[in-house]
Amino acid sequence: MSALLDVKNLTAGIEGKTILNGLNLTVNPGEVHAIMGPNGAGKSTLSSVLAGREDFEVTGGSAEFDGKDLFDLDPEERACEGLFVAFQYPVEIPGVSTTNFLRTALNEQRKYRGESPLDAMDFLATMKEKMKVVEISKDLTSRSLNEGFSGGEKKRNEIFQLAMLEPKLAILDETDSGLDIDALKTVANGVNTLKNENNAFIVITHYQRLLNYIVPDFVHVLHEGKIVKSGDKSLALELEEKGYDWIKDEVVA
Amino acid sequence: MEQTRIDESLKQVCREIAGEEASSNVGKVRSASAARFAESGFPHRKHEAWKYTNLNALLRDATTDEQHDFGSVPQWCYTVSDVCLVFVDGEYREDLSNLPELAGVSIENSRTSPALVESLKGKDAATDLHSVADLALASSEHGGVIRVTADFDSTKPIAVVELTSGAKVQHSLWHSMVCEANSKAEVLYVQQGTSGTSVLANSLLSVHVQANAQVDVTKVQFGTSGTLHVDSTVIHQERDSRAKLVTITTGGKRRNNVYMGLGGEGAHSDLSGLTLGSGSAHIDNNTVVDHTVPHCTSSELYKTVVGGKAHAVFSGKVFVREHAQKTEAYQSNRNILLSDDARATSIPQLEIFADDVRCSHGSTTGQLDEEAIFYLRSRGLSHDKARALMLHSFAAEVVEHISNEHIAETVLQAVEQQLATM
Repeated sequence: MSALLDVKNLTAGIEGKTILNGLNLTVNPGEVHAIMGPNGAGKSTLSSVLAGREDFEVTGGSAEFDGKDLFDLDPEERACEGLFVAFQYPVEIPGVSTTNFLRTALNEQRKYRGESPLDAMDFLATMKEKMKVVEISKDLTSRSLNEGFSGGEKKRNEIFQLAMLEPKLAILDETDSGLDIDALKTVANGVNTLKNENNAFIVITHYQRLLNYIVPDFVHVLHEGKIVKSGDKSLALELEEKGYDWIKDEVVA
Repeated sequence: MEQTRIDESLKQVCREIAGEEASSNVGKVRSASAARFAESGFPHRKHEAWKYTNLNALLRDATTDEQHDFGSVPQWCYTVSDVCLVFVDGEYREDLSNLPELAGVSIENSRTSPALVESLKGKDAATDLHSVADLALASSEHGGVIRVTADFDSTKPIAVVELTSGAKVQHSLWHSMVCEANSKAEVLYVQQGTSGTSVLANSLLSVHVQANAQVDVTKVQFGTSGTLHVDSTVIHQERDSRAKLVTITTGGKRRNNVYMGLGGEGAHSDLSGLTLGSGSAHIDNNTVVDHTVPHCTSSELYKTVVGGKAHAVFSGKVFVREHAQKTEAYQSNRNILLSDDARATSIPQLEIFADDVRCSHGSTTGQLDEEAIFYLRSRGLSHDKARALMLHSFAAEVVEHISNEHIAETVLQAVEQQLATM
């Protein structure tokens, strides 16, 4: 089976400053990967580069997504190919309702794949079903996208979009930051319901807490722009206990 | 100082009108207005409220075209309304209008109709009625007179359509409306200019909203390069009345003056506007919301999207007079610039003389939010689609203020068409 995401020796940065410095990562369908690391390790840069944020520059290495050169694709093409990033800071878009936006997004993706657009009835039926998964209220989906949403509501809305768009690979960029335990459980529960043998998740986090609820198959430690240690879920617990300093020491040694 | 022939000849016309003997009320109003215009002419740029719109300069190369066509009345104006009054170059066109025997609506002679003056009740409070409104009062030949009684019962709006052919260098029109106590009415006011000429279309709508009456006025202003539109709306509200004015402008050269006087306790005003300007469009919205008594509320939202070398101006003044305690007045102006050469000028002004009030105003001007566009792209929308969705949403917020859903639907289509070219 070929990998869903294959990142090789990736170097990237912003405004001439190198942040990712030879990163390697392979993700297969059905897997959940956690990427942990201290502030400044390059976690957000990694998700930005994979999502296609234009202010970041890829200076070396490669990334293949489902057999295609990821860096050859525009952000919208990546989305249509099945890549989804749940952002750390979802943008507020006044005037655009979540419902209207998602119908447009879903049908754009279907068009890309040569499928006919979902009619209003089918769309609403799908929406109703997925709203249950993330316990999101009708009130929230009819409001302007993220406008005036609490931190927890924004993150839940990201997972709701994930549920609606059914990507092959979802990257959760510090989705757990700033969430209370109830919101965290709701988010994790949504991810666990959506997880199957054909899709994969990359969970980027600063805290081990989320990994009590979304159990990773692999845990990677990001430090100074590259993955310096990989292990199973016990690595996350070790990090929680000892902090990141011992990793740094180990790397230096 | 530069003066064009139009300005001078209009002053001369007004001098003559002012000299006519006036015995009736309407005659006196006309004559006084004429005298004022004969004195002042078009507002000078030194006049703060006219800093960005110099009528003399805009009409410097005024040209007419006798052969020019006035186009056609948009079909939807007939279908959404029961009554449709059509004017071409300031003249009423019975052949194009639809005026059934319906109590309350008539076309009257501006020189003699007492009904016209009735709508101007409270005009003295409007201390700075612009000279262009004086020009309309003085020189309009005839105009629509709408009287809405409490038993007026139409679910359809009354439509007024003004077209310009380019055959006359200038024309003025004055329409008036009296909404009697406890009545409810809707007006659709459509203006369409012409291209290939350079002429002035000057219009005034004066509305008197009596106690507990409700009026919705929707102005749809299609822009064209050849007509300079100067449009004034003067609304006076009595106790517990509700007035709503929505102005949608899709381009052209234009100055809109709005005066909303809240003169009775418990009155509410709702003003909103959407301005779309591309090419060399020049659109100047000047509004005054005047709270003169306690316990009134007003809300104002003006939005602008400009591209090309277009310039949009929003200048909004809110007065809260000394006795107008417990006033709630909100104003917001939001502008999006689509090009480096497009300009938006925003001048919000609050003048508050009472001490127990809730007022706020806000103004923002910027480009489309690239972060938001990236967010939409990351969900599968192309750059163009993301941009269109954001512009649509920005504009739709104003269109949603239109109460009549048929008008709102048609306007939204026109707005989308315009946005697609920007």
